[in-house]
Amino acid sequence: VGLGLAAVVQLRWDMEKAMSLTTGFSGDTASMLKVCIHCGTSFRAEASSGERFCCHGCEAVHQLLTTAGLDDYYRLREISPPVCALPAKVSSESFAFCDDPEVIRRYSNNDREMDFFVEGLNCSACIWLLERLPLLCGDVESVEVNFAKSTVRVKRVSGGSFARAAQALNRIGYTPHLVDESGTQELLRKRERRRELIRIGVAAACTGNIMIFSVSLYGGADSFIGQWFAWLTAVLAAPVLTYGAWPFYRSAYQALRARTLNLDVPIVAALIAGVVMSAWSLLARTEGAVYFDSLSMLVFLLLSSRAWLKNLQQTHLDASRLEDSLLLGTVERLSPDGRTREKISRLSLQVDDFVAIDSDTLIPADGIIAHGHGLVQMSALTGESAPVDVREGDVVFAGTQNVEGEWVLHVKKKVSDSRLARLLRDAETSSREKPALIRFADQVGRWFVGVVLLLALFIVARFALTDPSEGFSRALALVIVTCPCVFGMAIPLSLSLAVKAAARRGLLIKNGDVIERLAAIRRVYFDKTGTVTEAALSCVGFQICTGDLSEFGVLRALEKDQDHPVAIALLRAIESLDLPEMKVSNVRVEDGRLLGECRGHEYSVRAHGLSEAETLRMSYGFYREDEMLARFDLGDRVREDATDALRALRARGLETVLLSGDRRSVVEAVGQKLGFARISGDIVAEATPEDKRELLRADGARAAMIGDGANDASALAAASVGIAVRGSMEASLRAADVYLLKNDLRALDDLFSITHATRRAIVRNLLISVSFNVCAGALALTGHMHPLWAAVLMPLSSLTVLISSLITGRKLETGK
Amino acid sequence: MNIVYVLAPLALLLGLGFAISYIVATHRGQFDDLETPAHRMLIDDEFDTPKTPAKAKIPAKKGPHL
Repeated sequence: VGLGLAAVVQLRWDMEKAMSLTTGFSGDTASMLKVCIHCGTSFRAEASSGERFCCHGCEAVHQLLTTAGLDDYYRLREISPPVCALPAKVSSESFAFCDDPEVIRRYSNNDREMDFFVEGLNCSACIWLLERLPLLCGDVESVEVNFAKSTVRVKRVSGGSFARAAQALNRIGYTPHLVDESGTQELLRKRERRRELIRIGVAAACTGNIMIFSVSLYGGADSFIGQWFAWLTAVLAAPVLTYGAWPFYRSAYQALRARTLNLDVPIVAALIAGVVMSAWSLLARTEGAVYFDSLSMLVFLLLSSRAWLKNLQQTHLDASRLEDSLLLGTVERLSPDGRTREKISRLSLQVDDFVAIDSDTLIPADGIIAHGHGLVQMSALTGESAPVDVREGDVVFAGTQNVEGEWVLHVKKKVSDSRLARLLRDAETSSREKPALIRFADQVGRWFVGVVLLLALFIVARFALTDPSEGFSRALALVIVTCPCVFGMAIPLSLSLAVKAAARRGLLIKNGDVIERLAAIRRVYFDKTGTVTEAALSCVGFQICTGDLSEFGVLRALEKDQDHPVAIALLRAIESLDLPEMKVSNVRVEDGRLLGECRGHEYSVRAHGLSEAETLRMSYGFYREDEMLARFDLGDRVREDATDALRALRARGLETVLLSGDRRSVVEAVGQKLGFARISGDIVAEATPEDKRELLRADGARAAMIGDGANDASALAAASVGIAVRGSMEASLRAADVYLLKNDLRALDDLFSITHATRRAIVRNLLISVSFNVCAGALALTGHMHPLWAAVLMPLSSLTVLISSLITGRKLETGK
Repeated sequence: MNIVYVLAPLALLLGLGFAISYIVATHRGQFDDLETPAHRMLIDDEFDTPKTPAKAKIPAKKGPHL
């Protein structure tokens, strides 16, 4: 290749242009959309390349399943919709900590069983696959899936390893997280649920049998049998009205003792009034009605609808049950003489321990580098995507990632005292303070109850002298028929259904309150790195100075086994080129340069300094001896889905702001590409995590933050609604209220449409309920409603409201 | 009409029997997980035979955990 060529080939390409040009080079057809056979995600690849997977993760999982004879999974998935379509996420964690005696003591059940929360459990095919884990891993005896909770209980064979079981789960694409399911709290919860079920069962059995006798009473049984049957209904109602209704008595008592009213107070008042009236007419053998049947029915209906609602709410992810991601993990501790290494859990790490940090590992604790040097990605704390050089004596923080180099960390603080742990804790406390629609509903419910009780007293007093039994009957009808269930049940139900519908579309919402808070959002803050741009460094342009395509084969061979982010970006930039296989010998890294020999020349890759366009992070040159063959500009690539998402949100009239800790020039360049206006303060750069938090706090209920779950934990928590797009789920949900499973920002628009539909449903239910209560209450007061009719109408009104919520929920789930 | 004196207690006994068996089932954890079995029964038996006989150790289909 002559030197003359150098002057000729001076092209500057945008990445997209480079792609289309280079495909022209190799005489290939254009790229096309394909569907990954493992996860069903569509991806772009060349038509002739025979590529069948969207990523290496999916390919590895597919291969594993096919060789183990578990490829029925794919057939099963076809026939049992809904299909779960998520690219396989395989974590690099070794899970060795699962075998740490301390961890086994704390998390296992009789030493044999351990519970894991798994990400990606979405359909029946997943259950089938997970329960066949013993085929893939000899350490596992059996697996039991709990679909609603997304947990698996792994039973190991005697002497088997929990770590290998967790690895197997991870290998097939379900990232496992330890959960404390065998702990006392979970045990209590289980017992509580069983007690509830038994209470409902007893109430149902008694109520059903009461009906046999009361039907004949209404049918006009003769006086002797009638008397007997009336007594039988009383006997059967006794367990319902004592044992079954116990939660109502307790809750009403607690409310009265605290000098407030709750929804259970009028229920208890109605129960007591009904029992007194029925008992009186039974004992005095008057012709008055006996209400034991309707009272038991009331108790049964209330118990079961409450249990159903509670169940619906509890099946959603409870982030507090996921254990601290910081505490669980494996580190290699060095013995004091530095000779031997032992693997221990981060849980057991002490101050002044020495830990060996290899390349591509997470730094477990705050400390000082004892010796060695490396390249650390600080993005977890600063948001800066370019790695920083660190050497002996430098302070490093837990949660940051060592991308290159091997060194020894001198631990200065326990894992739970690190800067990141403090930020996470702070996030947790602020996520607990909730402005709630439910609190408002409770308050309105209390007023409602107060008014109803006053009216009942008034009507009893009015008839006290003329016709006490008429007054009593009207008051009873009033108390039974007016039901504040829209406040107590319909609103929480609407909110939980919205949460469920969102989960179907890949949006994990922490709880129903978030839906209400989302409705008040006017301004949306976007984080930059990993949110609107690709998380990893990518090549945004390259320039060929001299040389032919075959020399890029040398470049590929050089970079092939490097795991440096720059190498990954360069490889991705040239992966679509049709390059010859080259053999490179003596590959080594010297003073930040990557060197190798081929055909008698020495080739190298090294930093070229900052490129002239200041917006780019850095520039790397590919050299033969001292002659530059090509130059690569590395920087942030804007994500395609970010553009669409921003357009959709702006169309809804929301303000959008770009918020980043990165350098001003970089942030502004990205912001301009995405249509953020610099002048109106839509771009905020060089913000520390603390700055971001203050900014969001100042905006109060109006602001939502969209960012990386780990990097922006404190900002996500400070925002009225925090939405995490990347990062591990457990860390994200600690701080954020919403987690995007699919890492596709377009889902944000769905989030807002679900919010608005739910709000409309709630308003509709309030209208239905208020008009019903006013009409029925008026009828009862004027004596046009018999208490028995009231007992029939009350559940009917509740049902109307519940069905109305269910219809909206169904609509949301199926996507209208 | 006298048959009522036999039938009424019989109905009550029957109800009592069901109530007791329900309580026992709840204590045994039959109702701890209501969702997973509903999905499991959708999977046809043909999927239960593994193709590789290698170390075919299929987890026994057992009831919920105690």
